[in-house]
Amino acid sequence: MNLNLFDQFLVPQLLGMPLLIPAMLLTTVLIYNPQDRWLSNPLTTLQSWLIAKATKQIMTPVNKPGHKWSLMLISLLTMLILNNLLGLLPYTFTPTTQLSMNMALALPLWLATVLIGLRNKPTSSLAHLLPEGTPTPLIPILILIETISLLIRPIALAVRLTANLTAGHLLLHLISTAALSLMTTSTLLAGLTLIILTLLMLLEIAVAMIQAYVFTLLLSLYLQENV
Amino acid sequence: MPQLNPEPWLMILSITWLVLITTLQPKIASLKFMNSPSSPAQKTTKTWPWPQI
Repeated sequence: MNLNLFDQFLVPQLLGMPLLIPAMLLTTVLIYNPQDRWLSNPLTTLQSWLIAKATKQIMTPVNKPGHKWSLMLISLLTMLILNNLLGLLPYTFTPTTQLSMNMALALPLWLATVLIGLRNKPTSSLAHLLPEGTPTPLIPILILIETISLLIRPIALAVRLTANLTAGHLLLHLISTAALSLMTTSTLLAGLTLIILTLLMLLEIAVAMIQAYVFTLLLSLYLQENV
Repeated sequence: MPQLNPEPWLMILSITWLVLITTLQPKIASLKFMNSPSSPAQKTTKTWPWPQI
């Protein structure tokens, strides 16, 4: 039973070739290229509008030097949203359930923000280790705590995304298995389980988009502190 | 948990960054910087909604 549930998170392979490569590349096919006309078709316009809205939302609090990061952060947001949402379709593989992918994204980007802060304004970025108005006896302990919280940020970012998506997928699997096996024994209970499944599916769609947004937002917050 | 198996980690790592840098960033960049090409000769003036023949 346990093995069946976790099998969905194995990287799929076909004759030795990892299917992760088309799984990640084919999500990029869904993004329309810009058209060489004054007014594009409605879907392209909608996509451009959404990207512009997301850019404004995420990059407004960041100051001017940090706007160099807008391309990186918006591509990251797009990649995470697409991967998360497409993983909700049946029989698809969600790359963002892999801890390795999320660590690969979180660790270098967090480290980049820390190094930028230490290089450009070292006193200001080190000052973040001590909140304002701390009573004097608490200062050593608080610096320790703040350093630990700084170092744990990439792990938290990666594990938050992985755990949310993994847990959601596992729950969907469990409840759908329960609904299927209840169909033969008690139809009423199966119906109730299906209602729960529908609500859970709606929640998972929301979680998929929110988690991608939270990942990018937190990175932009770390950038704001340091740039 | 299969996610903690370190075997596919290097492949997943490299594919993630490859896809992000080589595929997604140029696509998003093409949507953001639509009329600022590298050379002035490539700049296209937007014509009236229907293409002029």
